[in-house]
Amino acid sequence: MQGIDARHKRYVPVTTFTNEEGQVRPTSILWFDGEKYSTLVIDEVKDVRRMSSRRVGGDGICYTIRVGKNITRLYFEDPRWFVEAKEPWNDCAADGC
Amino acid sequence: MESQMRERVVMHIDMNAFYASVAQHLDPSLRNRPIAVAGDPKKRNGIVLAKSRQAKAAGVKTGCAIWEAKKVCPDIVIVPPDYAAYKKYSRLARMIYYDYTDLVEPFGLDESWVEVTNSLHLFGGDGLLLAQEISERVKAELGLTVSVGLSFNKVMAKLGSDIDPGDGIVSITPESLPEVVWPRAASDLIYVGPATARKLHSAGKDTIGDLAHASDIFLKRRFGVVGLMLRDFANGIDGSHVRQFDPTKADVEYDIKGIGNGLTAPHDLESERDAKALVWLLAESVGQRLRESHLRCRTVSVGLRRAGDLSGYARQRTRKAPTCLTKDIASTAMQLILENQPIDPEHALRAIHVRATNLVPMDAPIQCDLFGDVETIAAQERLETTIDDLRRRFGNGCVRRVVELTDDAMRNLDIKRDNTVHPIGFLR
Repeated sequence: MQGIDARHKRYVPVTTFTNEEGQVRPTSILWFDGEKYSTLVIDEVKDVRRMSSRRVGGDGICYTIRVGKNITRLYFEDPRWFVEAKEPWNDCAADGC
Repeated sequence: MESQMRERVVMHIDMNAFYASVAQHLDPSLRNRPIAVAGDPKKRNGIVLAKSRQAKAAGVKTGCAIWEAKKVCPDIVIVPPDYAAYKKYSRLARMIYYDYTDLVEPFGLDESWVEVTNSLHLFGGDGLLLAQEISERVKAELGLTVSVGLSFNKVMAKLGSDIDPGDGIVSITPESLPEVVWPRAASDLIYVGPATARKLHSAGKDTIGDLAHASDIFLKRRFGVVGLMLRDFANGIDGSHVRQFDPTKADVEYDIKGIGNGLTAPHDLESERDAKALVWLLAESVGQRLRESHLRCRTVSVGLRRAGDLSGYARQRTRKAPTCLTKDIASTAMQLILENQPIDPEHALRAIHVRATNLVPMDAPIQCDLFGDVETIAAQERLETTIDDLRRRFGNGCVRRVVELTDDAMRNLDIKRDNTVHPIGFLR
């Protein structure tokens, strides 16, 4: 699968750092992989701009971030954060059903 | 002097199929499919408000009923309207325009005039390139497409944006005007509606070029002064300015001429009691909006639509003293209805509209009635503004009148919150 079919809009918990100017920078994402939670530390914010997500729909302030070797996008859709996830969010997996 | 001689650069930016595009932007699975934004058929306001390009190609028309749309386009997807989202994207788009100039005049939710005459040199000096930049920014940042008309006045800019309805930029210069504008149908011009177009057609004038060359005598006789104005428009003459608005205000602040609310009832109104419930509900919203805008009204009007043949009429009455009290508006409206027709199953009503016009500011002095009770009125105004305050803090449903609770179907309506936004006229 490619293009928009391959991605899913997924809201994620994010920790942010706000400086004295009021500028906000995300520092880590709490990621649930279906079994357990892990903290993905954002090593670098490469770019910040307003952008719409053609892949999953919606728009917001788009942070191009680096987590380890991976470069991805994190959107601030006031007041929530979302990513363009490869896997669909599966509620059943979380409930164990 | 130089700035006065310089040709104006005005853009008219129109967001394509705005409601449908916002729905498609928020849910990518709807992209490239025929969709229609429509009301709720259960509440009996199930008409198509907007449609996507694909639905338009299939022959779906704005204003037709859902079943009609499904007949011409069986695989159409119906989505409910989301005014909060439309307002948000309208504001975000305007914020992009404000990056280039302070002269941004909104025309409804999805259109704006943007005048860059005096700021164009800051952005490279080329109007066409700037129009491209704005178009691309709206697409990249908001995921919506716009069509831009670029010209030397508002009327021609608007015409330009209508020429290419999809993601295009059309430039009209005084030199290209006879070539680009004159062959087009007269009804493409702003202020040439169906009635004017019919009159023009009956005189053999079908294109804008025909209108541009019409005689004084013909125009004055058929249309009055407006005729001469239309001819000026057709010749590209329009001196109207792009008005400046406060960008921090969420909604456009025009001089308010009237405040009104109307509703098609969830079921036909077959008794005085039913009608009363709806009238009070509407008057409550009108009154609340009047008080919020610090206005009082002199004239109350009602519009009615009959359930039988869907015909409608309107009546109005001017009061002795201006008022902003819900009670006064509702009782005047009720009087107007009952004086004009009985309300029974035979003369059932389908929709009611209550409107307050002839507005005066609240701090304008009032001529008191010699035998009236000024103190009671003042006390009632205080009571109602206090209730407004409660509603602002705890929601419009926190204080309700008993009369509004007599009808189960209307109990959960919140007219003020669901109040819609309509484009205003070009001539004010």
